[in-house]
Amino acid sequence: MIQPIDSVERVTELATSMSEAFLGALLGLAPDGTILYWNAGAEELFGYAGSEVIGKSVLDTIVPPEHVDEKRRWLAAALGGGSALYESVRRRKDGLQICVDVAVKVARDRDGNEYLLLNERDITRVKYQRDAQVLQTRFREVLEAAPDAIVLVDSSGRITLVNSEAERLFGYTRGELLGQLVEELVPTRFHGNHPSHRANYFREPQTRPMGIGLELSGRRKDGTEFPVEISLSPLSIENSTLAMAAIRDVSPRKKIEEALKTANRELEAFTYSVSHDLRAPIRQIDGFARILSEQLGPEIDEKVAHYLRRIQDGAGHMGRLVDDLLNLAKIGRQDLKPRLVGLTTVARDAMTDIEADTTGREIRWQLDPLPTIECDPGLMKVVFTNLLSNAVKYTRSRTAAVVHIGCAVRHGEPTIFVRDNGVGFDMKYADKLFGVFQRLHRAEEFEGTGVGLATVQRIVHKHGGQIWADAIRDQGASFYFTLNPRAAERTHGAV
Amino acid sequence: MTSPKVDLLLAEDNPSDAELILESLAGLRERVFAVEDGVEALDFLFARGDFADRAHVALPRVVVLDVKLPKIGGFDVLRELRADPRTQSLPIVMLTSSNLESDIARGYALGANSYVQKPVDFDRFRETVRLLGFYWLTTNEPPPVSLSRAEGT
Repeated sequence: MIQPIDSVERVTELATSMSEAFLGALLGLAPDGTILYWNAGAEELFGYAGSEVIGKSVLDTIVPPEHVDEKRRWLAAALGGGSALYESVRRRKDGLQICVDVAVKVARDRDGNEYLLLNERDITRVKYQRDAQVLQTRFREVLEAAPDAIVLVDSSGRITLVNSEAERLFGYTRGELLGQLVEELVPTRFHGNHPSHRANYFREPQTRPMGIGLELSGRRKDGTEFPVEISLSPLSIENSTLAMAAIRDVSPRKKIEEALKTANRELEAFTYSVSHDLRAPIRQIDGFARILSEQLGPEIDEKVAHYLRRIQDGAGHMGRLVDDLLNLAKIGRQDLKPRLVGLTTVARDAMTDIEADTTGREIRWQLDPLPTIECDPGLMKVVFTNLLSNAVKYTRSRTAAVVHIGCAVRHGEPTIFVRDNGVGFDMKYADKLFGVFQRLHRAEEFEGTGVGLATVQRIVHKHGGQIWADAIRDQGASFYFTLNPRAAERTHGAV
Repeated sequence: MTSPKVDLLLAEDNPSDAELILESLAGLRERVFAVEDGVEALDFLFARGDFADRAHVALPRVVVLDVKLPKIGGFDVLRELRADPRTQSLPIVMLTSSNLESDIARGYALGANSYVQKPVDFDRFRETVRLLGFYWLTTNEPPPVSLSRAEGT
């Protein structure tokens, strides 16, 4: 069919005469698909001005590549009585795909030339709402059972299904969300990149968290934002793949993390101040008491000497307390540096250090082979040093002290123990053993700051392990611990 | 007023600590001058303000700085001294209660020659300070005069 030169004019004439009867987008085409007429409704619906598309084929503009069989539809329409109604998909100037109802009609001008008049109406939302009904009957129970907000999105970025939690979280009704672009739920500042991320996901759909390492935010209907964590998984339905986004509001957790950060900062400032300021007065008390006793000379009154010694003992104890507490705080903050460590060597090192301080005592050491475990060797040395020096301290009254370091398998886990034949403790107080400043013996009996076992427990917990003890009064005590640094990474790594 | 030669400048704001340090320095005491804040320390070394009369007196052999000093803190004093050509080679010892790794690292990063923690136990404190004084005032060879202020102003 050959188009006369003035075809644009003629189809415009035809179209304009019909325009009253149609609402929305009206297109006039030559039978080969060349656009000859484009009304304001079409401009609004597809985003192209008439001047941009007239003379071009619809196949190069608003018909997506996968829908090029449109041409057959027109021919069918032309053959079958001059009109037809069908559903199709269009691509707008901004790349967005929409669903349309197409009413096509064949029109002839006075010379008998044929044109196609297409009236198109956006039915995207309607279609998605309709499709959602079907999906919903299939997936409703699974979706509603999930604790997270669930949003299903198709490859064109439109929301195909949501659960009630999603309605609640974002403040939209289901009807408002279905068929809407998922970007509605994303803060505007991320809109630029979101469609390309989306396209990437559909190219290689797999279950994974969204935006690894990034702080993600959701946007509510009222425009407010909230921090989210999103996990994506592909969902195949019939011939298409949907992305299922499980969205979790993490504001409560963020709040706790913030509070924790503040508390940590305060603790750090406190530690700093203790480290700088608390030591000075202790040193001054000790120093001036010492100078005073030197000034008084050897003929010092017995009582005066006693009081001065008391002052110095007090200062000394305070000094050790401050140091132990700072050490405990430092261990709490310090990162674990785990590597494979033979615990026998670590235990032997600690043993050797302690032996140097216990000359004159009869101590029978028994060190069984210990396992090689992934742990922080420096911190493990602190554990053994504390446990062994405790064992040595509390066996002081024994003529022959026995300290046994060994390993037993409990519940399939290697469990290290340190056992002594010392004074033990009353199991009634076993839960107080690992508390800071908790002491089960009077200071006159056994010196100490009450920080040692708290430090040991902190280290064991940092390694994902457990520590406990049992004892019989006057017959000795046993301390047990396990280590599991992998579990430690899982639980501590997140914060 | 301070014109006589000073070998050790001590910047220590806590009077009790200053007294204990001087006590511990025993025989070296006459060669020590103590200031109480960072501004005084800088004025003394750069012969400014109250210490203008020191313009022609040689710099001390060592400066002993506390970390926590009023007005200008120890680390800032250290930074200023290292930034000035007249004092960039001057031996500086940080003497402080803190044994925080971050403080130690900062001291060295800013160019301290030594970092000494004040022990809490007085016996060890006295021994530490005595050793410090002895080392810097007798054992250590100070930088040649051409590197010090005498040539500067």
